[in-house]
Amino acid sequence: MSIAILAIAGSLGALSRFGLAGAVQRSTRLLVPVGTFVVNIVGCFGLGVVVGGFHTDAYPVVFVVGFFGGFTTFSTWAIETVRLDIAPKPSRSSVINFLGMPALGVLVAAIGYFLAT
Amino acid sequence: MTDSGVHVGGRSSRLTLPLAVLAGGFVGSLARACLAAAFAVADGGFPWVTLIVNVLGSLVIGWYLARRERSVTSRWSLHFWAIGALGSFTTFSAFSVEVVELIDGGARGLAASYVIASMVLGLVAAWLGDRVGSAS
Repeated sequence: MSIAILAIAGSLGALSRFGLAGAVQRSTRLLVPVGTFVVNIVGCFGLGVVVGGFHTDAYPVVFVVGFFGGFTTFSTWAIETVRLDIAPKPSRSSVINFLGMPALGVLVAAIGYFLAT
Repeated sequence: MTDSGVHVGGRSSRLTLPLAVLAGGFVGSLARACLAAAFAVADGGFPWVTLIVNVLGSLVIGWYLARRERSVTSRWSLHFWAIGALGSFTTFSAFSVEVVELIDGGARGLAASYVIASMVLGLVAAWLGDRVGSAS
């Protein structure tokens, strides 16, 4: 049951990511992948709040956890960093994306987590 | 009759890509949920299931996108596999929150090694997949 909820919630998270990342990316002239960045920041904060505030396996909680799992993405961040020319000589934008995403992701997750605890 | 057909066609093509993301997202989320259920990580332990999922997904997306540039694949395939399936198979939020939980549990060394392992291995995997996919 939990696995089915996680899969359904994750698919809705993926669709929401597609919508939000696309809208953010279209609204900017920046060449950096700011759509993925915004999605991941929002998702890290959201999951931090849920995990920090709700220590339960109740299905609504499982659903929200699954949603943010599918909403955020690690693989896109990794390949976008590579495509910003991390090798052989790292570009400034690739370094910012590589270091900034985990730093901000963990920071906002911590803020959400400890606010909700 | 013709008008209605064109209209329906236009509407369905606008829905095609979001549906591909939705379907791919289901597959990717299901795969990660099954792995997480099969290989549970103890509380306070090193979150190696998320690490493996994220590194594996980064490897495959690098390979897939590089291959895609060298062959004819549909936009449906891109939205299903890269944005939907691989996008939601991997997760940035679980990674970040696991780091916070490790820190909250006092395991700062474990948290630091998890962050460094995820960043370095994820980047190397995506790069490697890209190189392999680009090679002839």
